[in-house]
Amino acid sequence: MSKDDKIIHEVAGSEYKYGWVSNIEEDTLAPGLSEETVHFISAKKNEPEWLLEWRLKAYRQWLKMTPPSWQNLKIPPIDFQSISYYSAPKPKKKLDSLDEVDPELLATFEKLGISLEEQKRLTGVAVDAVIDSVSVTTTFKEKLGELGVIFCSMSEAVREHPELVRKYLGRVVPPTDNFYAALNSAVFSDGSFAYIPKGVRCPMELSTYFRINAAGTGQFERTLIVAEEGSYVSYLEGCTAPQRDENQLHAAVVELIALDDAEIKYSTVQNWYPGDKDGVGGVYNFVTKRGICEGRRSKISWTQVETGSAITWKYPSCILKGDDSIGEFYSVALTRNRQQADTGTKMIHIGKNTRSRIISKGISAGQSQNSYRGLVSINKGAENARNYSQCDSLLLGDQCGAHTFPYLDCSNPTAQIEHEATTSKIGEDVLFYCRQRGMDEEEATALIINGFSREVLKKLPMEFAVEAQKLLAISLEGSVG
Amino acid sequence: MALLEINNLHASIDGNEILKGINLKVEKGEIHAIMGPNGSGKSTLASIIAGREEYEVTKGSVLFEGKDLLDLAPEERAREGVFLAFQYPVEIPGVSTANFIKASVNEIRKHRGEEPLDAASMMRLMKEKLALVEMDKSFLSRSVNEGFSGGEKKRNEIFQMAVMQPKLAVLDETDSGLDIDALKIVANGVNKLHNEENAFLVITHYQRLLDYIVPDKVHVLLNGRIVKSGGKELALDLEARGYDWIKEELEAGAPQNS
Amino acid sequence: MMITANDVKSKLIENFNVFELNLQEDESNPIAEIRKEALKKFAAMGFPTRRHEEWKYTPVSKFLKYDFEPRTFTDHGAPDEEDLADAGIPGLRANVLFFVNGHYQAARSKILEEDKFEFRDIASAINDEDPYLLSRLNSVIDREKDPFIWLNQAYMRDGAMIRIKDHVKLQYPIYLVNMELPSKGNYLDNVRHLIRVGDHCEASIISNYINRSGEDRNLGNYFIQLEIGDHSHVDFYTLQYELGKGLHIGNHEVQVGTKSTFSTFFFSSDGRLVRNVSNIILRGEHSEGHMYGLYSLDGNDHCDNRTVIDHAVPNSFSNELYKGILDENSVGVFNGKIMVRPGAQKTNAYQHNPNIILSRGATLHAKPQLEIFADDVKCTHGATSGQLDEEHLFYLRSRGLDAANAKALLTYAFAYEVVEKVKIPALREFLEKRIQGKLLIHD
Repeated sequence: MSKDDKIIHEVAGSEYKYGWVSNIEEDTLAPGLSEETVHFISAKKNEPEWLLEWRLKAYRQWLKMTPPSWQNLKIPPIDFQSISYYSAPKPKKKLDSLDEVDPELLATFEKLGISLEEQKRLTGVAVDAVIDSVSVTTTFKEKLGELGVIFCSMSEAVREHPELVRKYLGRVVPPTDNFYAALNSAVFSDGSFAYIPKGVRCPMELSTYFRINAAGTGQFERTLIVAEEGSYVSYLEGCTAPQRDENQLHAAVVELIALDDAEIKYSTVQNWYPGDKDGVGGVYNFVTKRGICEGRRSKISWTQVETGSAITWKYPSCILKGDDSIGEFYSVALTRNRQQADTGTKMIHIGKNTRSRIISKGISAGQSQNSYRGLVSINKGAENARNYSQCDSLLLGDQCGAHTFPYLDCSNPTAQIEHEATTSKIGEDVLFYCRQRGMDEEEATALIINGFSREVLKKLPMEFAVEAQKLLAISLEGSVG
Repeated sequence: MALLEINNLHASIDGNEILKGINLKVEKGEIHAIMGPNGSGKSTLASIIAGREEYEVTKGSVLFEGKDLLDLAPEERAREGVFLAFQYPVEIPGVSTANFIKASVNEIRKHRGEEPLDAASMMRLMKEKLALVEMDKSFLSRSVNEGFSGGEKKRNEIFQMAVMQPKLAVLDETDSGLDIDALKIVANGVNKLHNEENAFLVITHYQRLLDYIVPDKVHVLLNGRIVKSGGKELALDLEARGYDWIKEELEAGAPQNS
Repeated sequence: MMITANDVKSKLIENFNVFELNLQEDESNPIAEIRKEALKKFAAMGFPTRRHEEWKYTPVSKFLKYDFEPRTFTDHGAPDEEDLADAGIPGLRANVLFFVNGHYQAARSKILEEDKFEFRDIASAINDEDPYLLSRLNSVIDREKDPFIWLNQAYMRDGAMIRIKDHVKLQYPIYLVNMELPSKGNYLDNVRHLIRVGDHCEASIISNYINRSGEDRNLGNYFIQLEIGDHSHVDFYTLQYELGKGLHIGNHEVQVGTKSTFSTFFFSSDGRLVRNVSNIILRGEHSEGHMYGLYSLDGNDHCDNRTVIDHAVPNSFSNELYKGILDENSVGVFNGKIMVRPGAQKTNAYQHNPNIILSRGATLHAKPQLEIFADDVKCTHGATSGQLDEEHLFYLRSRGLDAANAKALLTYAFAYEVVEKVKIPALREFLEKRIQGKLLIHD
């Protein structure tokens, strides 16, 4: 093996840093899925009748649906009966403050690098942490409450703000939108809910950390963010999962609604366990994320850094319904070992003067397959719509694949669409230049890849950007930080 | 012990022999100029000193402070103190010049057993060296060489050299494509950095640069060999008379060293 | 009663026996088995639906409105002067091979360079059990799983079989005229052209499609297999200006050898349904594929361009430029894939698909794709959609042109980037005039 190859192999085969399992006592439902499961989950959460009906309707539809097959992924058949649909850390009692949270749980967050204590005291980020299926704690609730901002777990939202949940739940992603969304609608157990009232600029970033902990469980959380007229919110989402030999299913749904002049910025750093170097284990990340720019001049911006999951199937999208609304998608997806990713976005232009921008950076290493799939659709009435897309792929090693599947549909003569894509490897001359300045190949590669991803990384809030940059470096370096 | 000692160096690329027995000794504190027409092997020599992998050394040795340089990876050579100012500096999109230099300097410091520089010291160092090549500090936040003019790229090379403080700097046609003002800035940078402890190998096609960087020795490279060596006046001879007279001299069997 | 694509399919399968009987082919002829196999494949696939990814934007069922059947065996047609005029390209000297209703017509053909290439009509090659023909029929690649290829193979009756020997440089292009004449029924013509170009050759081929009925009761299903040896240069021009509302399906399967260059040009400007599939496999190192397309559509034209350039070996190059001009209620589809196989290092591939939409009723679907399985490559693609530049329009109007003329002139300039790539002067002039005529530009 040449030196280059060796480094690429090392780079491609680094170990997962978040692969520990926490010894939290969990309350886990036996595997299996039926109407009873749906009843159980709904009962467990003391849900109102309408929500149970909503779930059951989704479940019955789901039974009639088949998993999507159009994506460029090899997905082994999933036995939906072997998954446990509910797992929660056992509450010792009702939690009133952070001090009462299970210390093991707190330690878990420390390991994740999100000390809630720290968060609470210092950073001004409000955190909702979801372990397995259940939201464990939400910080800063009171401070947000003064402004009328609601930020809580989905379960709590159902209890405390049923009118809002009922009004918006399923509005952007209908329960039967697709196979995995239907499954989620039937069995979702928790998630985050955020509501920003009219004219309020949320003073801190709202953040959720998701972690799958229990074995044999799936995670089906549901996030709903509503930004009323003239409001602003920046929302961060981070994900990790322990290292396990079996595959775990994560089928989440995220819905964003932005009314007139509202702006939602949604950032994700996704680092679910990707499986080992032979492709054993890892999370199946089959997620439906969609936002609607309902109001005029509203804006939704998705930023994602995807380094984890064995298989990723994810297309955070924007429906640009309000005139002059803006949709953005910034993505870095890094795959290595035997990871597969099929990810991208949809920008549906309906309103006049709507604008969208897509920046996608794919990095493939090892024997992974990395696909960008995106749709830009300009409807008849979308006068003067504008789209710009740039999709770049970088290949590290000769055994991986990088694929680009953009779809452009245009039915309006005044629209302007521009799509560009490139695929290449890191130039030998660039590597040599870095090495001549004293960097070894591994460091040079990490530096170049961070540069390649910069346009996306700089869209992340500061703390997240640093974390994402480290994550990319860790994923590449083969060194455990 | 010479800083750089090249003995009977033969090298080829894709089976074509480019260097056919180079001998060269550079002592600390010296400035050597290597001149020669296009295709004589000047840039090949620079590439081999820096460790570009596409060249195959078929015979001979290159010693740096007595150590076998050819045995080292490019980054190890850099850490030992060998710097190449590239003829065509590459662009690295998205990587700011500041970040690039930080990564580079800290690697070299690590090699020397020194702690990484803290942000403030790093910034101070960079600002100080920027002044040397009359560059604005806005350069630091721009991506390495991206969208730089030819002159800016070359100045960036000299700037990096100033920050890294190598023992041996090889300037590969740093003067090409520079206007007279930029040339003066580059030469001024080199002269300020030059001291008793370091050495420069200036590779150039034209004598012009040597008006500003005065060499101790000038070597003429022709067809893969150093065919003539002399003092700085040799450069002026070449400027006035071109290379043909040397070729004629060679054919007439004249001695190689005047 | 409404006819569905499924009805058409069933009928084609049911009536195959009748077709076979009428063929009067020898029972021992291996073609019989080949036809049956092909029919089986067609039956298994059926006509594509929207769920077939490569047919997403071209719902065949929408166009198959009649119970199409293979043309009767006696309907060979006799074109009149007007028909013939449509096939003329002024000033073009060429080796003309004339096909009417899918049948070779020797009387209207004219081969100038008989000594340089071998031609025979497929119908007689079938009867003779020509080994080359059989070998090609048995080596259909069909990476796309296209039922029309198998429909063609089951029902084909005629076409051109052309072989160019090594070291031959054709002075004149080979001109394939594919004409369908008006007739009473709802006819499906399955025509096969087989071309083999040897090593160290130069050749140009023009294939012109003319549907004189101009009705959507005619479906031409063409399949062209082209095999190019090493060190050769081949240009292939496809003209679709006289299809009226006719339906046309064309599949090209091209294999390019070492150090050979293949260029393909599609000029499409007509047709209720036109589907051009261009599958190019660069199977020799240092080979090149150049793909040019211009689809300028109006009325209810629907033109679907599917291209695949398959870099199967290291060190190959491809460049693709397809331009679309969509007016009135037309639908333009560009679905182009660059494929780099594992190990095909040092591939350079470029693809560009700019489009102009001129009217509110027109729709564009563009799907440029990269599928890359080797790392030492440079591949790019781009696609755009927009309208004419307001600045440019204003500039021309400030120089005295009226709005309509300024628009036409700029549209022509947009199209010309493709037209200028045509290497045969008479053909280029012909195309210039056709496009100017369509845009109502006057000298």
